[in-house]
Amino acid sequence: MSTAQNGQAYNYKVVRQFAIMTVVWGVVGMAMGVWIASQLAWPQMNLDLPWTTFGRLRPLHTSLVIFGFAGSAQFAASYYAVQRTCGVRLFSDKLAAFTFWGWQSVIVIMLVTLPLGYTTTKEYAEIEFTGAVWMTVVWVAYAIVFFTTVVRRKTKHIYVGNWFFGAFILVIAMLHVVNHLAIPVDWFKSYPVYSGATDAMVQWWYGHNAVGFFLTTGFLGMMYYFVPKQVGKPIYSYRLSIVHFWALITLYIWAGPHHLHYTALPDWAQSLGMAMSIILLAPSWGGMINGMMTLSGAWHKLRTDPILRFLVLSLAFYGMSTFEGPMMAIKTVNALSHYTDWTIGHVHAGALGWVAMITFGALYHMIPKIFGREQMHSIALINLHFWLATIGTVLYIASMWVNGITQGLMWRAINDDGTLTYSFVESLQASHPGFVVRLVGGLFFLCGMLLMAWNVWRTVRVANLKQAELAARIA
Amino acid sequence: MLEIALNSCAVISIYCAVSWCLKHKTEKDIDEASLIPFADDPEVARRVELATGKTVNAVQICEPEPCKPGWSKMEI
Repeated sequence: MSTAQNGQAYNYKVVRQFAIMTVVWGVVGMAMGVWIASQLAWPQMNLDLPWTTFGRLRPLHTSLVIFGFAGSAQFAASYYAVQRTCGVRLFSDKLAAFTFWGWQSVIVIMLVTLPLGYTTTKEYAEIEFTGAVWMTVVWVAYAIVFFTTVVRRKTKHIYVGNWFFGAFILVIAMLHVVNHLAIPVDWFKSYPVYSGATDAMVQWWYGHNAVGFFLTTGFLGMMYYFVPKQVGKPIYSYRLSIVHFWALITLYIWAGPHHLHYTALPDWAQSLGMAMSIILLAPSWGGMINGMMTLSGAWHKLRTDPILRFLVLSLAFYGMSTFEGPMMAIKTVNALSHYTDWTIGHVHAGALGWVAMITFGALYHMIPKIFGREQMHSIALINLHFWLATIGTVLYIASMWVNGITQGLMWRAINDDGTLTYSFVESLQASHPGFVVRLVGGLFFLCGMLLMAWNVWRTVRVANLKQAELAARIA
Repeated sequence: MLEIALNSCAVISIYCAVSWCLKHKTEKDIDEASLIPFADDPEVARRVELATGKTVNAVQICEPEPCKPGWSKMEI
């Protein structure tokens, strides 16, 4: 072993800030999700106010959990991992601080404008033009901080996790700029430069890759750093990680049209999207297998380490949802599943099972280190969080599967004379029990998130800054 | 026809990229790269060396650099 102290200190301040805000936005965003789930079960929860209707709060929920929770988590994890795997301090403290305050201001803009009804109406890209431009400025600053740190590295190799973080940063910049190209008519309203099927195609090229790059590639970067660290073993196959990296980023970008099956989009584009989605199973499972196999010979650690349990379960859900996705992209399956709750269940298998769980694992690993503590305040609470999150996710997914298949079958059922067997309202009535179970699942998940917030608060309150400083100096 | 061309492009791109990445990579290079996450954590690195029999030496030894003012401030 030949490590050495070089007197430099990592910039943990910005990592700490993003880590704390991950928890804050997680609580707010998931609470918003529980609220809108209750609105679907009991419409009175819309409160008869324009600002609190489902139509306005749903985009707020997705924006808060994607950009607030998942985004802050990736800033924290990428800043933490890139410093430690490159052996250098982050480039420019000021620019790093700018990315923190800039990103938080983007989330606040969403928090204010979306309930007020300012929206582009594009899913996951609802923030209006002015906010989108500001978001681009912050993202460019992020790219400068991250890539300059990589360029200044003291290691010979660029660790594979940083390749994933890098791809995530570059592709998200491209998607965001192209999808937000618009003609502004005032500060709060703009119209896209695209129209008709082209607009839909660009939107779902963005939308699918928001999942593929914002909610997958960056989190794979997280997985490649935190799973080996927590297991105490190097990644199972470094070669596989390189192969699956290139395969993933080459293929993901083509899969968007599967969101537009049986629409005005040209048939060849739909078929291409379907084919690419099916092929995508291979690189997705490459990552999942690589992560899982890292545990070979160390499975016993799962008995005692709840953080590792979070990380491994997240990989299991990643494998499950990346199997389900390609299946749902097959046109004949999609004919049943599209526009039903099955899609919502699929998204949450990825969002709760993969994104949130790997974030929890990474935060529980990282927070004691950046706050100079031996471990989190309570390991028992991490354990309880794990079970609440698992039960919540399973309830959510199972109820949406049942609802989705019920809705798909009821909508397509026809009588001998060609008329519909069921009205839409009948399918809604049949879905009601599923809506309630989904709400219960969401409540379980939110309770786990609240426990985490408490655990983090108790850990941070007794932070040993001298110890953190000492650890930060080892490079 | 267009689909075939696009699919071929994707396959060729991935082949070129992976070949480029793995070109000139010896087994030692791969090992070294995969051990990077442990290189800045002496205690863990020692455990990994014991468990895998591999040497963690991904981080090069460099001369101490003086801390810039304020760089070690740890408050949020």
